[in-house]
Amino acid sequence: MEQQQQQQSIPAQQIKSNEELKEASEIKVKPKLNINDLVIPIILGIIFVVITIVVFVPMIESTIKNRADLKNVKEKQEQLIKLKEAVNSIDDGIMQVDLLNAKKVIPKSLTVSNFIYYIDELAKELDLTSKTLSAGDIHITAGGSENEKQIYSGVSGPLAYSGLRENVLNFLDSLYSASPYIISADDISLEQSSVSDEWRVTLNITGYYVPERSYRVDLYLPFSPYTNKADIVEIFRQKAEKLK
Amino acid sequence: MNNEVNQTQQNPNITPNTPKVDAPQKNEVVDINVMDGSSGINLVPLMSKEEIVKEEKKQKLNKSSIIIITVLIIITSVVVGFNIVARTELNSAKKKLSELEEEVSTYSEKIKSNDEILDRIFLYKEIEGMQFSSKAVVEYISGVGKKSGNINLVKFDFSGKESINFEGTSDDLESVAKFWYLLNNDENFENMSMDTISKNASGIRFSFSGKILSEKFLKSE
Repeated sequence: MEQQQQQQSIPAQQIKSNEELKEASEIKVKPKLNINDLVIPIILGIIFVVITIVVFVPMIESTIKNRADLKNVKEKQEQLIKLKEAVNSIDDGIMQVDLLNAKKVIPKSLTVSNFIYYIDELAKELDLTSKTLSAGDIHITAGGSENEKQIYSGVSGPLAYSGLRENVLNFLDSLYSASPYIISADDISLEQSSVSDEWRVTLNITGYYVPERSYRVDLYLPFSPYTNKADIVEIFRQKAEKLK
Repeated sequence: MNNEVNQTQQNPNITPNTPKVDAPQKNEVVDINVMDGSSGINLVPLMSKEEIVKEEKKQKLNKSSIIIITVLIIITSVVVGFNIVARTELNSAKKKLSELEEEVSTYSEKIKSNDEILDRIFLYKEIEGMQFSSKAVVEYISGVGKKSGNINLVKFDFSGKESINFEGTSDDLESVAKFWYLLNNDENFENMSMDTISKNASGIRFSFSGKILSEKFLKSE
């Protein structure tokens, strides 16, 4: 009877101890995610951030700068190629002749006496008389601003002629073409004589010249071939013919 | 001890606390043929759920580390590669540019000559190209005077670039008034106004001043 009771109590004890063991084993090896397990990912993360700051960012900046520089360099290359083509399109021989003509018409220095002859010749052709002819060299500057560095010089002198109205007007009209030099007439005054049909014209003639200066060659400045202004080059050629 | 636990887990029928009285049961366990492969005793303790989760996390972390390293290598390769390519391209372009500059600089004399001619062309355009014909202006105003009636112009003054003053005489005021009206409405002039007018025994004397629209009277060489 006692043995039977013992036999019956054994499974119950077994079950109980099994459960305890199971629990005990689970408690014993209760897992935890240690900091050790995170060391490698954290280190990698830090390395990634450090490399990004120290290497990637400067390298990307440098790459962006290089790309921008490359764009500029390519633009400069294109500009130089265009310049080369434009310069090559100008014939050397023709250019020298045109330069000579231009320098004759607008010399490096000028005095009123240089062009007064041609004006006086024109007046004579048109039967205009000059009782008084006074001309002097008054230096003036004209042209572009200081920034453009295109300041021109000129000499100026007053002139006075008398003659028939038609001739005086023709004189004024032919003044520019008669002179081989580049001149301008200012302060023109036309007045009919009170005693006769004659008209008297007084004017200020200015002849222009381009003083000698050194030309700085900047390959990257916009280049415009002078041949684009063929009409003015032709005028220079015609004017220079008169000076031969 | 672990083995015992394992055995216990594998075979719940076997309990380590079972008294020696249960020896036959023990023998039954021992009799299992381990070698036949059909059934066996797992001596390795089974992992708890937490252990499994931990193992999974560890695997994930390891995988993440590998992925990060791979990404790092790829990014580094891309960044460095791009940098090298950009620098190489730039150096090559600079070299080419330098060669081109050297080549084009041989044309410097030609460029200087071109600039010298252009300087003179600009001067011509500025000075002479914009000159208006004073003859055309005088004839035009005289024509308007004739249209107006008996108008006789006796003096013209061109001062400055576009200003004009002129004087004239007439026999009747009506002609002067018409002349004034016509000039005022003429599109070739601006601000044309009568400055003075006087009448005496010899007739009417008047003067006008205004601005010429020079582009309407431009000279052609």
